Amino acid sequence: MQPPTNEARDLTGLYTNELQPILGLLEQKRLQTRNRALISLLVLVPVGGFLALLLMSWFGPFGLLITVILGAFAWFWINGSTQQTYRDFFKSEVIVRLARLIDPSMVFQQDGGITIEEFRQSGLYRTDVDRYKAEDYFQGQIGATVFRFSEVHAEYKTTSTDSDGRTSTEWHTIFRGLFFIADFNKHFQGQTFVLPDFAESTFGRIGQQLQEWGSKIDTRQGELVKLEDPAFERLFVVRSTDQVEARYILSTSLMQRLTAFRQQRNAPVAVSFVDSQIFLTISSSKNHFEPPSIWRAQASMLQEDVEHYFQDVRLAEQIVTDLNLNLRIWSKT
Amino acid sequence: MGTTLILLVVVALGLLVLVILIYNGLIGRRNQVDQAFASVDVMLKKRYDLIPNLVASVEKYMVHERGLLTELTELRTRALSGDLSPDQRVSAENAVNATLGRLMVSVENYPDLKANQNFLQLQGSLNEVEEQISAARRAYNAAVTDFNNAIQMFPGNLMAGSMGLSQRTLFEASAVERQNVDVRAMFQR
Repeated sequence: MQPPTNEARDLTGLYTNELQPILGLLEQKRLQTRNRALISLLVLVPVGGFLALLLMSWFGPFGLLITVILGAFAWFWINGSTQQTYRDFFKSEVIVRLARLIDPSMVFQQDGGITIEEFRQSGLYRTDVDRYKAEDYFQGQIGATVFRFSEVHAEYKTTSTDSDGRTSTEWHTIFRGLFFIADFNKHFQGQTFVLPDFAESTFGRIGQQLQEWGSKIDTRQGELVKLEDPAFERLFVVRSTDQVEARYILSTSLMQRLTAFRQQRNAPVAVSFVDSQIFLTISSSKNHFEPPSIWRAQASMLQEDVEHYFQDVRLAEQIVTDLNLNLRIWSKT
Repeated sequence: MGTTLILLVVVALGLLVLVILIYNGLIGRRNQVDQAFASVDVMLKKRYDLIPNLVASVEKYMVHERGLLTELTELRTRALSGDLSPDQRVSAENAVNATLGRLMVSVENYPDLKANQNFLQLQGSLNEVEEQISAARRAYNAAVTDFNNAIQMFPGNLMAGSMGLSQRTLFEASAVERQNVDVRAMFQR
């Protein structure tokens, strides 16, 4: 385990020496962006109101819709680029520095991300993806472990046609959250999946029976693996193409570590071991690594706020140390 | 009359299907146990394959440990001789474990050896095989638990006796192995 005090001191140092002037600039940009937004509102609302009245007298309620659409366009035309600059500044100046604190060689790409091929390779989500977005890509190395992670949002769509023949499309989330890939410290050939468990945590022993039946109709490769650790089994269900290999990967200590990690994150965690890599996903509805809202009442960002972001950036390091991925005592180096 | 007959036939068929399902389930589980046992054997064999290499690469360095190395080689030959009863087999296994452990501890006295790339690689392979053996044992224990549950729980217990299936025993750490990890005793010494 890395001593946290050391890192806290580093963060304080970074905050007082480097970040404070940058955060001052960021605050200036935020106020500029906010003022621009306020002024554009002051102009757009009366103009829009007048336009709405005018258009509604010509087209009826349809006029209101036109006004709203025009208003939205105008809003983005005026504010879009400044808000983008504000975000870019935050990411390139603040997030990048936080990332370098963990690993000086860490690469951050705002528009990069885990690719859809890698998402599919993980085998964690079987639904066909219709819309895929990934942003805030981090890539680096901690000790012997090479890792990359990003925010990912994958969706599928359903279209339905009602009695009038109108088709409507609905988007459903397959996965949203943080997607982490690292080189695993042991060699293996098969595929092993550690998925969040619903049946066993709700129904206990009967749930295990349900899992067994369910696993027969699951299209995923492999079969159900029953492991010895009851705390682990309550949180996860394991499938693998190889019973022995699954236990080789999921050593008793890794099971405990995964259980602790899952309890600490307090969000659904899914892990797969494919092609000698570990894929780990944490579901989350929050948009990570974004600057504070321009409407925020509080002025400049304090150290606590920065620490909050730092916790997210630290994810890779946390996974590597919590799961002990740097332990390289086997034939893989 | 006709309906009663049909009903009887349906019930009989249903029972037959049930019996077949239970029978196949039990046989499937028994085979799983045998397969898991075989995979433990495979891993143990892998470890035996590593021992000659290990001995060859440390021999040059560990001049004071000749006795230990000869002992290890002899134990390997004995364990591989094939005509051992399961109990003898387990005790041979344990002796190999203990000797390997002692060897790895005495490596600490040979700094040259610890820097030897060839040896480090072997040590890595050995660690890996140990991890594989432990995984295979756990897989075996899971299969045995599954099998034992099936033959002791209703309805499997009704058929297990007539099929000649009896409980299997789990792999357990031997008394010696348990003593080995008594950390408190180590500190009190």
